[in-house]
Amino acid sequence: MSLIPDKPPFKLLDILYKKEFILFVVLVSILIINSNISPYFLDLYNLIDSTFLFSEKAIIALTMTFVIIARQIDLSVASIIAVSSVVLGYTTSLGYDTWLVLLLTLLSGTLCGAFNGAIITKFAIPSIIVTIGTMSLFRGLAYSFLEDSYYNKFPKLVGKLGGGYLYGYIPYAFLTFILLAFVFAFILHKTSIGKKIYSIGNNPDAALYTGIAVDKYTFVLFTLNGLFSAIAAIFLSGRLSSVRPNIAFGWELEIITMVVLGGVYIYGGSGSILGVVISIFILGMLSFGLGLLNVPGVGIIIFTGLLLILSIGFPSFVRTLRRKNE
Amino acid sequence: MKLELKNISKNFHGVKALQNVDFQLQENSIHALLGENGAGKSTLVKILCGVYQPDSGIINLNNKQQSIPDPSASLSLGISAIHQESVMFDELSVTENVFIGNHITKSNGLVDWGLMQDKTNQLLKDLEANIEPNEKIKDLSIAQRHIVQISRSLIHDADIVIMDEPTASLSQKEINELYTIIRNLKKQNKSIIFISHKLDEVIEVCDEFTVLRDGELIKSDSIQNTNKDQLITYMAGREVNQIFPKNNVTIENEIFEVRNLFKKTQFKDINFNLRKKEILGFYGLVGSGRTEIMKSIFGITKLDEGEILFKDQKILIRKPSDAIDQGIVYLSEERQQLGMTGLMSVKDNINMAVMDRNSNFYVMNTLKEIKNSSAMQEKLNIKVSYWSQLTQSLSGGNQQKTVIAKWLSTKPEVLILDEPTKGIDVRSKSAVHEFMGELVEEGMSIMMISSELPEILGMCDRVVVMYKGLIKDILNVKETSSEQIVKLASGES
Repeated sequence: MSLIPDKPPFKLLDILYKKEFILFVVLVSILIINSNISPYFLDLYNLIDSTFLFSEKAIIALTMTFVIIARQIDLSVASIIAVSSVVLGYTTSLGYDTWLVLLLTLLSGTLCGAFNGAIITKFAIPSIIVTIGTMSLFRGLAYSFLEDSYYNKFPKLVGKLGGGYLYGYIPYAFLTFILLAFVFAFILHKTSIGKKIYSIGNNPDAALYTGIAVDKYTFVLFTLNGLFSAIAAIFLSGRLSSVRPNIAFGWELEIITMVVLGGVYIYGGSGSILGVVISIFILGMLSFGLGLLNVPGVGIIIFTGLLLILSIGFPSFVRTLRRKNE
Repeated sequence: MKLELKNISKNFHGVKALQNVDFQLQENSIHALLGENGAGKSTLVKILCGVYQPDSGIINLNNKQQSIPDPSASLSLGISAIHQESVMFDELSVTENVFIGNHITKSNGLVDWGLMQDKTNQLLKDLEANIEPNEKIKDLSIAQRHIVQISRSLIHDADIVIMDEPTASLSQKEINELYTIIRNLKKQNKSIIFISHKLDEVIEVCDEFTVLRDGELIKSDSIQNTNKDQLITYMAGREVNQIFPKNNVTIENEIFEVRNLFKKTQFKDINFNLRKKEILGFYGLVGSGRTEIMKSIFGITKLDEGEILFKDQKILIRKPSDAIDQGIVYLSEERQQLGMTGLMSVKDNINMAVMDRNSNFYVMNTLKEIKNSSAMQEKLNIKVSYWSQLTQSLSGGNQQKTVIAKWLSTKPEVLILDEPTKGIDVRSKSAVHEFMGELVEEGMSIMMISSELPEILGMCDRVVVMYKGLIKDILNVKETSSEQIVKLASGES
């Protein structure tokens, strides 16, 4: 039997072309710069608390990574948070048992996601159009239900989840994100499910002709995205301890930024969980550092934009240089 | 003499596509260029369009020697080709498409839409075409699109117009309209090279003909001096040579059968069976419904009516995975779009249809994947350096072998091959043929769609000949002739 190696011989230089490596360098630079600029940055409690800024978004970024790798997009996640938060507040106000409240909250997000998935697969409408529609639809439902009022009473457990720490150190939201990140990395990179998602994203037609249930996968991914939006809604409502219909407004773009900055190709087919996790830390540490410096929100947006363009552009820039040299 | 090609030869990696071919196009004439697929017609056309350079030979245009280094040179020499799959801008108007890249501007630098509209109108009127200049291309029929393309070539002042199977997907009424246009072109002193597989129309429309076969000139003459049977003999008249490994296997019992398959506007009354260890060919013109039938059998599209039997059991195929589970697989004609995933590794592609079999409760077993890949590599001799190599970096032949490996990994019993040797070099081609012979020896049954008659005659036991969504006949290859097959496929008898 002829022996064909799985991979070419390892070359140190190849690491330079890896998106994850570049992201890691960016993250380390941000940490160094931040710790030099502000004496409060390297404080353990501050660092831990800074994870509250991004953990809820990060949880959705995991499923969004799957959605984008499968050549789809979901712009309705923030609006699903609004729906689920309203369900959370309403069912609490009805005096339901905590577990029933949580179950109904998760169910509401799952149904919203399933609605997206069903429309996209049954009628073959591009997901960007469907979710632009449901972005308004779901948000509108939350507004029409709550109008000017708000909910500020939730089960104790929800408050604890949103603002509490395990053993007094690790925020539950952050812990959930890290555990889920391992699970998702395993699914994406080690299982046939992940491989099929890559196949679908790279060439959906060929995937269909190979017997992969493209529509089923698409439907499940959108449903999952809805479920995870509801999970995020529970943490967020608990942390804010108040729900208004404009909750999580504009988050969909922040979440997509996390994914795309993490090296997930916006047209599908490539990307890794590791890259997305690093990118989440980059964005989190960046806004935390800038916040310590009292830079206003607009500044953070500008920095994020520049970072996105640089980190996406750098690999293609290096590749172009390499090609010219050859 | 309008155009004269002398002693044109062209080789591709040692394959002789054209050998010392002469071709003469008279002024003011419609000249048919005939031959089976792979005879060298398109190579000749591409040389005239400046896409390929001949290895040797002379091109004389208007009695002056010319070279055609690139497509724009071809255009400026007045040669314009209208291809089967037209390159047009669907959302733009007829006028915009006709003048694309050649906009007329007013003295102030703005585009003169009025003048362009008038000119287009005049052009279409001269051709007696019933098209409005401001209609959008997407609202036009295929025949009307051809006419717009013709108008575009007239804007370029082309006096040689090459038409590649312009009537392939037109209705009879549209074809007649197109004939009128072509005759009007001739009246305007244009010379036309007309490529078609429909011999009736060739005889009706053309003045002269040239037949190529295996890259060589067979016959060139005036249409008046020939008839259809003679043309068929010129085109198909080659001995089926021995490059096809004739498999001497004993064909066994029936394994697969379809009854009364029907799909609206695509095919109807489709009945055939396949026996174990048999190679069943499907021959017909483009659009005769062969691929559509296979897509329905494989579960890509839904049948309107009909039933499929496998090993005497009625089976229901709703989606491709149903077919694959039964042991029926389909290798698509469109390798790049539907067969392979170019940006994934060779290993991933080979194992793509057996991911579930290669994993334990969804967890991938890389060792199993490499084992299967190695076994396939050995069997098919895929030239690959690393398993993680991207599939798109392989040559066409090796890509095709990778896709075949994907299907063989599923251990199928019925293999449907749709133009399995399209666009691959001769060596890979004979490797694929040899391999088909081995597969049936091992007990597989094959259905093969092919537009190459020699391939059908060389490889198949029986051939299903199709015309416009109907089966004209199912012939035993040993008891038929290429003439008979060509006749049936063009709707005769």
